[in-house]
Amino acid sequence: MGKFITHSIFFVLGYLVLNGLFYMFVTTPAVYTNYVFNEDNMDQYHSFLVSDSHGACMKSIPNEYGIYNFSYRGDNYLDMYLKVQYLATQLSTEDTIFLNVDSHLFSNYRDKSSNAKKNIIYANYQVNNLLESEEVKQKLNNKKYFKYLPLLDIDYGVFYYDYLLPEKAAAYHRSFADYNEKTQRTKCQRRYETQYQNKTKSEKQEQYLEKIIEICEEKNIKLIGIQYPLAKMYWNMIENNNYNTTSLLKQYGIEVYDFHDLFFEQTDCFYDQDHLNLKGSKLFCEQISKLRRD
Amino acid sequence: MLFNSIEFAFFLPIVFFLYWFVFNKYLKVQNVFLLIVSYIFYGWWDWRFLFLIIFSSFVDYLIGLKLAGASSAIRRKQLLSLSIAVNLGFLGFFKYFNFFAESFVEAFTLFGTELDIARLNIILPVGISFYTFQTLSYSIDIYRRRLKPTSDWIAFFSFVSFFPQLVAGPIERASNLLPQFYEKRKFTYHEGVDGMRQILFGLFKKIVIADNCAVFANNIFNNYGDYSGSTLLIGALFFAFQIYGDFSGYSDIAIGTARLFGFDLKKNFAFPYFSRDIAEFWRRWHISLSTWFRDYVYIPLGGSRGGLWMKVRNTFIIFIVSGFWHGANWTFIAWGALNALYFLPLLLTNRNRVHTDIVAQHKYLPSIRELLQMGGTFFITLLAWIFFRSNTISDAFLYIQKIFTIALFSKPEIFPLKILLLIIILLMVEWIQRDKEHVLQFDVTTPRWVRWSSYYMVVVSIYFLGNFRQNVEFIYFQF
Repeated sequence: MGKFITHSIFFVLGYLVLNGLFYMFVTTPAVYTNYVFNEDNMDQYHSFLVSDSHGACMKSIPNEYGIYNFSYRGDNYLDMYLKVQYLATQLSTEDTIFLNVDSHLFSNYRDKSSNAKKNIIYANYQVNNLLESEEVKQKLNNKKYFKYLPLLDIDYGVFYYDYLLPEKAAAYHRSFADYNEKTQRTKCQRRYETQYQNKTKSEKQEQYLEKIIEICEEKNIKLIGIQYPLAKMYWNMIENNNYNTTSLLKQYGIEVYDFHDLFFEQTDCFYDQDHLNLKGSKLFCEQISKLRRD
Repeated sequence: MLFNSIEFAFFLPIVFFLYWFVFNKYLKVQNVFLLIVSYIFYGWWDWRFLFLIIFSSFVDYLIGLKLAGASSAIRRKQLLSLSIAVNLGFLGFFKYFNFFAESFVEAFTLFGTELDIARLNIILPVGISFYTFQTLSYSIDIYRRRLKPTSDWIAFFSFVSFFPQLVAGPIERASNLLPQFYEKRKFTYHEGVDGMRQILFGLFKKIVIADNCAVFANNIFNNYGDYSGSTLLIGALFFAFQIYGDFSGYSDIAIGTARLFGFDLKKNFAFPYFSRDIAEFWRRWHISLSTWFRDYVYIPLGGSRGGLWMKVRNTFIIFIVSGFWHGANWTFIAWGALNALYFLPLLLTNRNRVHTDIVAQHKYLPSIRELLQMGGTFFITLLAWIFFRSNTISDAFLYIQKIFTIALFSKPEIFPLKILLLIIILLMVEWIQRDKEHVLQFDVTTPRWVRWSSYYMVVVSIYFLGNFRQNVEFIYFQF
């Protein structure tokens, strides 16, 4: 038994050493350089794209147009709030945040779709009262302890994958136009079912969006609402299901740019019904870069 | 409590420590402790069903004692019938009541009569199919005078509820597991380390292989109408590895955990996808269930000793009952019947025990013939899994029909290369270790650095490649 326990302890110690090495050589570049916005780069960028998968699918293309892509797939308005309150501590009044205000972000399915456990990396302790999930609160409390134990923190696994295989996602190079009409319709229908069918407007998401607006007003940061391009077939399916995300921004006098029909005649700009591919991303970035103030 | 949960990660070392360092002086105390922690493990899911397992244990404990004291054949038969009635009664009620009620209604509807039979909102108690078979084997073995009943109720109750294998097997025979509760267990370094290795690889199979395959298998099977034949074939492949990774992974964790406590459980899987015919597959897949049905159903029915009709009848009975054991759905029955059809030609030509050795033993690679045999067996198993996974039999037929179209040669809409590579890696390491008890079993001559780097590699692979997004339950919990 003694030998077993000694070897088990050595195994655990070895694992801790492995954690340290992993932190130095993988976590630091993958999470703290690749995912987390590096404060050292703050001078390079004055425009930031904050969105869910609609922004994330463009990968680093917005960066080439001077807009730092701060989006991540599955982010809801709580996630975006955590990012914006982090940015707010760094930005000046000359900086701009392009915020996704697509209708689906107010659908209540988004309450469950959250990256809060990942984005807690941006959170300060003041947001504690905003976090409803006990699990996320706990993560916030454990943030500093787990920092150097990345192999015990499963929530960042996906970042390593993104880091090790950057820009290689097959979808990014695909075209929605390559699918036959039946498949396109099926994909649109499935998306519609996820986002709109039997769904209601989420009050929570509305509250988080209001928080984003308030923090930008308080810090005098320019906020611009962006509605992303959609394939025409998908728009036809959802146009009567508008949760009117933009009305809140308009109440505060915030500019909103609606690009939903930008590529209605160019299905080859999407990789699916509502996400841009490489070609679409470049064309779209040209458009939004015109809105930059810097 | 799930093996792949944080709760279990705390539960196991605490129980291990208390078991070996606090309650180790007296065997009885250690058994009481095992009984309590087993009930905590089970009650974590739903404590109300603890009463069921306690009642089931109580009935068979008493019947066992009465059987030993009964001398008349009629009395013994009555007692055995009571045990069977109670155990199968619970199983029938909780697992099959709604199925029979619905099938009854459907049968009458066919003849033009509309029946309205109330359906009950029954929750299936986790593991009922496993512990019921375990207690049944106890009573049957005593009836056959192959086992002496125990008067030690703590040992018996602990045997029925032993937490590593309580909810999804392996289904242990009283003759193997119960005596281990009578003797003081000794911890050996070799057993402990090997148990840990088996747990580790079990977690890999569950979290990395099964849970990743589940995402695609579920998507493809639930929307099979939208996909081409090539994608449906990939869906079936993913399900084949989902169920294998899930169930054999559970068995590995169960066996490994039991070894940490000084218990030796039966092997439940022996690299079944390297089987060269379906008979060999059934000797390597869910061994504890196959042998249970063989000993308590097939052989009492006459086995393969009788004439042609008897052989055919018994084969169909055992496979259909085995299918039905998995769930109250016609799809499982069809899966069982299909396996009977695969098996019968081998039985009738006396070729069902041709492959009893390890494939390509002492060789690095299989011969072309062996490769074709393994590929063929895997393919027909794959077709059978489609019945097992589909929601209805007509769905299964439509699924298979869609596979065998010209679209089988089209580019698949879903082709997750990462998961396919993981499956290939799993098959490669299993092939290398196919003569061992499990994949991480090393010879004493293997250098320490090789062993330790393998462990770390598996740990890191689980972390990197595992699917932690959903806390996926083990498939066999539902059976």
